[in-house]
Amino acid sequence: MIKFSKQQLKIPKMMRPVYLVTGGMSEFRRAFPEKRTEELCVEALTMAAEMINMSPAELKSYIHTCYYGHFADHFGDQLLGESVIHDRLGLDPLGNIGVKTGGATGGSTLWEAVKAVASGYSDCALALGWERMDEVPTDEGNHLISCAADKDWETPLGHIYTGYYAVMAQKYWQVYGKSEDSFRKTMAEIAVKNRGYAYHNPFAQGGMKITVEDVLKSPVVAYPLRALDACLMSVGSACCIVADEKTAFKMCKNPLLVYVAAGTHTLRPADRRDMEIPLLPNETKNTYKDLDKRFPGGELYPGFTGFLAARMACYYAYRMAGVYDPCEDLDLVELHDAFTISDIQSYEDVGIRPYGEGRTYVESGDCYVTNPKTGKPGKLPANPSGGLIGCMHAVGATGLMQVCELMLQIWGRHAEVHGDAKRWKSFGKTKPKDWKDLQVKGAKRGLAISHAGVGSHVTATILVDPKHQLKGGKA
Amino acid sequence: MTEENKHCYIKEGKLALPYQYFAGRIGSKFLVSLRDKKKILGVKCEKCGKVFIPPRKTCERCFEDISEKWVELSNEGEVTNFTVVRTDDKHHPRKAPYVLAMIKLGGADTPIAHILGGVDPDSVKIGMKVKAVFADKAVNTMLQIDRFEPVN
Ligand SMILES: [Zn+2]
Repeated sequence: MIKFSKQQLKIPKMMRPVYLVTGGMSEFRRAFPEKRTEELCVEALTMAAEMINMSPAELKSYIHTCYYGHFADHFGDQLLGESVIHDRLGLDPLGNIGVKTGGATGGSTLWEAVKAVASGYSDCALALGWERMDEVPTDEGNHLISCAADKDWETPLGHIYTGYYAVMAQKYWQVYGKSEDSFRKTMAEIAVKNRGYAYHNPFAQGGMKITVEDVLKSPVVAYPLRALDACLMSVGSACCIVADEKTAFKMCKNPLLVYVAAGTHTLRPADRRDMEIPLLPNETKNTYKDLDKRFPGGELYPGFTGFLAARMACYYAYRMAGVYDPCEDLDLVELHDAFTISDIQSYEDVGIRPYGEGRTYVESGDCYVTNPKTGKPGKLPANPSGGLIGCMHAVGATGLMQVCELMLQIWGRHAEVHGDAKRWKSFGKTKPKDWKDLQVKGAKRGLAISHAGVGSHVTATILVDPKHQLKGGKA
Repeated sequence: MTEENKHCYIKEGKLALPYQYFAGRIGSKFLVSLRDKKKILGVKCEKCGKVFIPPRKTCERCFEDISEKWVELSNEGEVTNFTVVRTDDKHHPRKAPYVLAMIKLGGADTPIAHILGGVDPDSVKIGMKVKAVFADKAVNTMLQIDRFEPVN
């Protein structure tokens, strides 16, 4: 049984508060043959400037260090693409560094930028990420991305992540889903919800109106996961600008407090050792004392079904931001729904539900902007952007897109940006006649989870309107 | 070989990585002009005056969209720097020895890297006047200009 030391469990300390000043995104698509990567990054930075009524050149004049997220640089014969982008954005001679943590690259990039400001090294830093996944066909892309799994002992068995997640899904379904068909339907509901939300998002690649039946009839990739259970493969860019308090309030009227923490876990799920469940602020040992009786097979943590990395990221981040109960203290979340099953697993890791009870977050309707059961606002809406399943997974940009979406929601500018017919048109799309405003009313605080591999790296980012800071949150 | 190392396996591996390269709309216009008109195009930022070759959509200093501000550059320029490649390598575009030069075209603000042929490598000089020689067939990369050669 692994036990963590006090030093390991120290709540991360920032030397000064850090604010998100602005953020921006390009459109996301499966392919952009007409655009070079640099053009997508320019679009993201330009939107970030526009959001705070600055010219890009003026915004750039505040930036002191640059953090770039790009994962699959082996795809297109361009190592160190960070330098190309840095050059095309005209940010030389500032220092820059590339960040690479698989699917969590976007979140990790923000983590680095926030630490640079928190430490005092920089007063303003850029976190910008992108991915170019159209240089290869989807099957090659899946193959090449899974080079991030364990080459010694795992990738020879199957060069696709869906296979790894499917094994977890099977185990989770047996233990916590009690092998019920209803559990499979709950998974499918997530795919329906997120594609449905993406339908109203002009940036999104995969908006679709589908039903649970469509998901259950889509081709099996690796049982029980089907094609519509999986996230997208995308091209695009997103960025966030962070700054210290003085600089942030000089740059914009309403910067948001930002907290980021990270966790990791073994690259191979099979290597996981048993440990005590690291408890979130609202949990006690009692919370899990009879877990094995309620869910036989669920007595070992993290077993094959939990993401310790996500749990640890929240363990630190909640205490930094003063979050006690995520369902009470947060207004919305953007989760890393790589697959419908990992979305359910994450509800438990991040404490939206206790371990074992993730499915009830969907089944209660709490995860919707409007609860379909009651017609009232959902308790804690998840992924109104459409998430990875509906909006995009342009790996290096994903974690940053999530934070941009939280920012728009907390600023109350979701409709202004997503409902802008001109923006739809500029992306070559028509704003749907039945476009729906997915603004979460009165959103003040949000959480984004950026997640890699089968849970190897996870970051938790919490955005807080400084006027609605939580007691215990450091500022 | 020591007894302990005798049974360490070496497995041969190969990662095939066929991929597509997207020149984009602006890069494509540049390449098509080289191929079909044998003309070298740049773009000019009207705000700061810089002429970009190869072309790009946005001036990185002014953040102006310059994608429609095409200017035709001279097919002639001068050598600002060079080296002689003297090792053969299967990944090189020419047999050694060949000259790799930085060439500033007439009308451009910055040089481009290219191959200098039709000249004894030992007689290349900085400031030498050179002109573009275009490839006969479609190449659709920077090697659509096959090489530069001395003007005289
Ligand atoms: Zn300019």
